Amino acid sequence: MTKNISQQYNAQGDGERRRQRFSFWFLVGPAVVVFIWQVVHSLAVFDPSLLPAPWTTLAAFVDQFSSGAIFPHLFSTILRTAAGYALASVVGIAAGLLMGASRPVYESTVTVVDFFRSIPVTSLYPVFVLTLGVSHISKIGMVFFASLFIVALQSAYGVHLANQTRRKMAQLYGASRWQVFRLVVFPEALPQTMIGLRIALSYSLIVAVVCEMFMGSETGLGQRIIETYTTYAIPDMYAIILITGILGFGLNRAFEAIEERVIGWAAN
Amino acid sequence: MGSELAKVAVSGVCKSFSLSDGSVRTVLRDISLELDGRRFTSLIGPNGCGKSTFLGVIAGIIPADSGTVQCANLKNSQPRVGYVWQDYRASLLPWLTAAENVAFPLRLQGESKERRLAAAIAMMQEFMPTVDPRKPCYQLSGGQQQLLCLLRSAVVHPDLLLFDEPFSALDQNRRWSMTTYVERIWQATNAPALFISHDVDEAILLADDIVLMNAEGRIEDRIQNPLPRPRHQKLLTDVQHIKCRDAVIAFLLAQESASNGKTEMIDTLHEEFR
Repeated sequence: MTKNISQQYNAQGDGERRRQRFSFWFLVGPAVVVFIWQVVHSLAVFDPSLLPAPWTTLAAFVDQFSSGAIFPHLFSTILRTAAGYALASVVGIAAGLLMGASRPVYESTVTVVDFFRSIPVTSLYPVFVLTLGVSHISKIGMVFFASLFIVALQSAYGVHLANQTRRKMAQLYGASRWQVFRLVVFPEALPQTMIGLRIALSYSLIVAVVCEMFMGSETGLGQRIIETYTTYAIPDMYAIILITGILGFGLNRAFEAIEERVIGWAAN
Repeated sequence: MGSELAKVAVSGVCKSFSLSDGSVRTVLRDISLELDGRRFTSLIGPNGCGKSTFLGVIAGIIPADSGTVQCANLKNSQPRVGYVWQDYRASLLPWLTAAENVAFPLRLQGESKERRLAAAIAMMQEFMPTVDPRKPCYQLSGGQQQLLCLLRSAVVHPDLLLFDEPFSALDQNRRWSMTTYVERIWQATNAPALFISHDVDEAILLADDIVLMNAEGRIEDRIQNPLPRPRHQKLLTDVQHIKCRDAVIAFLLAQESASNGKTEMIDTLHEEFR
């Protein structure tokens, strides 16, 4: 009897619970969207040359990959997003932990951090161009800037939310300050830190694509969207928007999978 | 070291807190207490009389205003304390497995992963053989989680065991089996034990010595429970147990009436208890 119960627990736990099984209902939403698209196109609500049929767009989508034309741009966008995001994560977590651990550091920095988090980073676009030019560096810099403060702030909150009993427990059993921090406070700050990282990931892709659109770039999905738009290659434009969307969707899904592994315990 | 059992002598402990309105509240007044490895001591007193503060002072996590805690015949070079909190959920580390939680104090001491897990798994097999040590601790029942905390307190070979209302968060039918576990673990460690509880029956059932602390934070009386060990639920109706309980309840009721002055009502209540 006891064994059966514990087996049930096992089946539910270990991260199985939140993993969605495949069901055909998941296809209903996308199918409806494509259907509406087709209807709007067929009824010529908008000029059909400005809103091509789903089929035409799909052909352009396939062509982007079969010709290989999209790969340098896809790679370029991923690289900029990843570089800025990774840098912001490392610096942001370190800064946030420091802010969380020390009251003077927190109180002296929180206003500045909260202010910079609140500025839409795209409004700082001229500042980045004036200081860093139109290089890779300025685009990565903007991605970094967009992500840094939200990661730092959430990570600091995470430390603040850490449970006092656990800290006391570790101290009682002889933990040094560093051990308390590494073995108790840091893991406990992780769920909140992951919230910051998740928001920052979305920001990173948005900012990378916007930078590519307007910051004098030769590569990148954003650059391709603007170029196909200005040269009137409309099916290609939609295809690349679709690719950008799939990239964002994939990044979110990948993040969720990692999150489940890292802080699956926090859901309980 | 040696065959002699550990002794802990607490003498003259005082503690007061400054409140936010500027006043000072004294919670412990000149508390002295002797604990040794052969005896289990329960501390009973009205709410807010400073029992938990007292445990914190002995454990060294709350500094006292005055007084000393002396230990003799230590098993370890530094005195080690095992502590069990009321809130097992808040004192376990949910990102670790059951065995890693039990082994956590050994990890802090720099024990290798292999050795500390072996020690923890051996204890788990003795006390909770049906539980998989590799399971995340949050998947266990409340009673099993609190049992992990008990094992964690014993894994360090403590010189002193402190229990801060360890069963308050458990449901009633769990609590009787937990008293048995506490007794077994205490006997296995040979360390003096000090136990706080709101439940008079379970405090008496476990104890050799019952110490009564009043609302001013002073020790008012001591009672002995001479019943043999192991203690089990049937002893709850033993005449010795009932004698102890009458004395404890009389004390608690007197404390209650002293604090709110409703002497008459309490007297009638008291009659009903008898």
